[in-house]
Amino acid sequence: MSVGPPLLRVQGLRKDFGLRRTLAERISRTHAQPVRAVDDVSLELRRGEILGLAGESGSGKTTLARCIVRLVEPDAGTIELGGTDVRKARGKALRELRRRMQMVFQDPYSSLNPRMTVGAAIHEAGRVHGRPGSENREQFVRESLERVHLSAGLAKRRPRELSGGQRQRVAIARALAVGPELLIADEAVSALDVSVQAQLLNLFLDLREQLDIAILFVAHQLAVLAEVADRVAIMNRGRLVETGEARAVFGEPKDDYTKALLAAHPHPRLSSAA
Amino acid sequence: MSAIDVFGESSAPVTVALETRRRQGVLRRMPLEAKIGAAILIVLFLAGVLAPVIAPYGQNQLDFANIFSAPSGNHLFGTDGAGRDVFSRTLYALRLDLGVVLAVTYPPLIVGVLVGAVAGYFGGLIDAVIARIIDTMIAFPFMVLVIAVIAIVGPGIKGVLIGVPIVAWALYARLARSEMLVLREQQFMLATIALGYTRRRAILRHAVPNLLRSSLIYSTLDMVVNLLLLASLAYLGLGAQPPNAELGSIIADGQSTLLSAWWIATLPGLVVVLFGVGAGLLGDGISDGRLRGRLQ
Amino acid sequence: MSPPLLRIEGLQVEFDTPHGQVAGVRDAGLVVEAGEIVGLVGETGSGKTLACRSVMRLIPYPGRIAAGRIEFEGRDVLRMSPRELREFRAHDVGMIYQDPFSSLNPVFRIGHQLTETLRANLGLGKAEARARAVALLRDVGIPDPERRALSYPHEFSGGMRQRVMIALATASNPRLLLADEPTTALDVTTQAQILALLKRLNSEHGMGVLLVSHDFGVIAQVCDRVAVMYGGHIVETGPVEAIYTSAEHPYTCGLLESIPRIESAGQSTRLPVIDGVPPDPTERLPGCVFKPRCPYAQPDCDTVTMALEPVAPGHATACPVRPFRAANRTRSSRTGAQV
Repeated sequence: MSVGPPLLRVQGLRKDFGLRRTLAERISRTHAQPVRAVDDVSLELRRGEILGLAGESGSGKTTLARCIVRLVEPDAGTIELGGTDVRKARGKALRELRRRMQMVFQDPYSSLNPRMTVGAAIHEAGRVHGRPGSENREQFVRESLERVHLSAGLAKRRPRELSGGQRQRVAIARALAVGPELLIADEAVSALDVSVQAQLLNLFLDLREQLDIAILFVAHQLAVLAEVADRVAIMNRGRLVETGEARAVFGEPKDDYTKALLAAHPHPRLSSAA
Repeated sequence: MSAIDVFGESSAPVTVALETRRRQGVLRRMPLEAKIGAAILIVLFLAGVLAPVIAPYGQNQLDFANIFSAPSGNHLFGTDGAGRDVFSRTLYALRLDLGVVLAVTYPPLIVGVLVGAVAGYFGGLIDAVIARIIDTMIAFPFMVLVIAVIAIVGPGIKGVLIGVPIVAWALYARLARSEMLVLREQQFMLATIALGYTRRRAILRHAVPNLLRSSLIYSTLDMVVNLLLLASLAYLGLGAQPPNAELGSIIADGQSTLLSAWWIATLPGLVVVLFGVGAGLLGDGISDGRLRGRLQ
Repeated sequence: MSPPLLRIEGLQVEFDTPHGQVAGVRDAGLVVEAGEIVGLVGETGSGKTLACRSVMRLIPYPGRIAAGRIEFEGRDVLRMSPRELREFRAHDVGMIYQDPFSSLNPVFRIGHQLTETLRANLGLGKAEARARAVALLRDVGIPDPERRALSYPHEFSGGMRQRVMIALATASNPRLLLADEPTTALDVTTQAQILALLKRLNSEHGMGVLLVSHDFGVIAQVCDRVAVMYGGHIVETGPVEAIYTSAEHPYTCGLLESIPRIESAGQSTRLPVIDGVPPDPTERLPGCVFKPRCPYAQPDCDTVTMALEPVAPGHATACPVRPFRAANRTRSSRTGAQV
């Protein structure tokens, strides 16, 4: 893990969603109370670091992740990637910034274009951004697949022929194909079986070692974060309630919400342990 | 019934087993109905294309010695009141009609899908404007518009070639737009933004291939409708003019002698029906195949 | 000695595919006694959902139950006539699914859907059915049931919908409830509530439950006994505590070890994983189905027939290589090096 300026710096980020107004409200020109999905959130991420972002559904963690890559436009605050202002970027500059911070989505069944083969999807990513090595399609695809421990033979397959775990690996391979410095995993393992999830968590750890990328790992299961994250940030209703080293936050939580979250975590009812 | 429905969750190995057909190529994996439908259509299109080559007689070859003769070895579909071979006329008519049908079905499909995709993808003002245009076009009484165009440019297929596409694109646009509204929320479409792809690439390369399927299925129905439209117009004397062979006018001419020289109206009519059956089977077959492959 | 509530023996569920026959469930057997909560745990493709649906004979074409016995209170389910089957499904067994939304008709009010079931299955009159529906909703913990009965499914949250599903499924007081991943789509807190509800229904009404899940935490929270499935086979059965503390099958061990733990925070070790991927059902190799991935495999495992053998009272395993605890699996470090 390197020291030095942070790779990603988010400050005071805010995102409101306006609720639908009923006809009566529209006529009388009253404004509906907006939902503050992300409320004055600040965080930092260093190169080679894994930051876990935890919270229940509705906490705003996915909205925050999407704001960072501007899939959703934040309403206020700053986002800096390696010192460059993300919010101000437009057109080509924005596409280049996006290349540097890639996202892996939650649903393995819809994050890949069903009509494209695995190889085509990965190669396209490399080609669009002119990545070195992308001229040689076969080799580029093979290396991308090997990096996520998939056999090169899968390049000809379509997503529907792959399992959930394989699809997620392909999604990761596609994201890595553009050479990002930051990977945002938005509940990337939540939809997977336990043993497959374990494999993928180890893959993220491998990638961090080999590529020195930073990872923002969004998840609702605290135990998952405990296995991969160096630091964690806990979100509740749009606000960041606690941040710190994983061991500190999970071992000696300071915030009441964190404590409640840890307590609600399922523990097996073992009468022999009682 | 996909593997998902059967297992209640996706099981890739079984999916691979059940879907192995897919790797055997497009033609092999179509269900039987689609293949039969496609075969029928291919035969009819070929018959039309090759008409000048395979028609035993000219489309307007008169033979007053043999008027109203019943179907025979010499004249497969018999002859009409001027001794013209009905079979040859049917072949030439197919050539004309199917050519027009293709011209008024597929270009509007392409234009419509693109317009609809753009509207659905961008939303906002662009979508609002386009959607209203689509709604207006669809609200037009179709036949009336076509006849109005014919009134301006005169009878003949020109009227159809101009009038139909003016409205036809709107139906495809509506279909593509509503599918795009759903499609753009799919995570792989969000991924195109995250991956830094241009919007053009996202729409053309990623969205449109997924939008084409339902438009293509609909187009099989559209082709039949357009063929019948052509035939109806010719029947009314507004479409292809004599002496050009056109299915509708052949049938119309045969109407007066329906009971005596039944073959003039009936046999070409059966060809029209056959076209409808072929298109229907193809459309059904493709759409069933699509439901079978649906995983997400 | 009265027959158990549910007994499954030698169940085989197969599909006809272009590749020949594929078996989703092979030679599976388990028992649920009256008033017991039994868990069926396994990952995607293990066959647990198929096994569960077989009980109600809900296997859709092109699948079919190719072999085995399913007995409910001693009656042969697979031999039931259509009329008997309908009665069985209406009165004796209930089922709830993972996605409550798709099992509730979106255009009918909740109350209506409940009364419809009550009137059709129990022959209650309109007023009686309505009263009972409200009572059922209250019983599953829906606040203000008279008012909520008039709501549509989309007006409920996921947890509430699941409660409504449970109300629907238990309306005719079935002796057995089949729960197929009932909490997978729910929040952690809601999950806890639904599981508590199932426990309460079990203890108050003596209703047996077969709970299917891929989440061991869920299973461990409510089940008395559990059966572990892999590749279509049942590889281990036993009391939940016994399995949790000393699993007797390498797959179960591997599965339990790969469950993430909060205690791992800040530690430099990695989760142990089971290498490889689940088996391809079209390629059925002889011997133990788990052997390709098993760290304790012996040469004999290639030829052994899979069958459950008891190792302790009520605890059985299909692993012929025992004891295998001798081989110690260490956790590797997060940086990839062996610790």
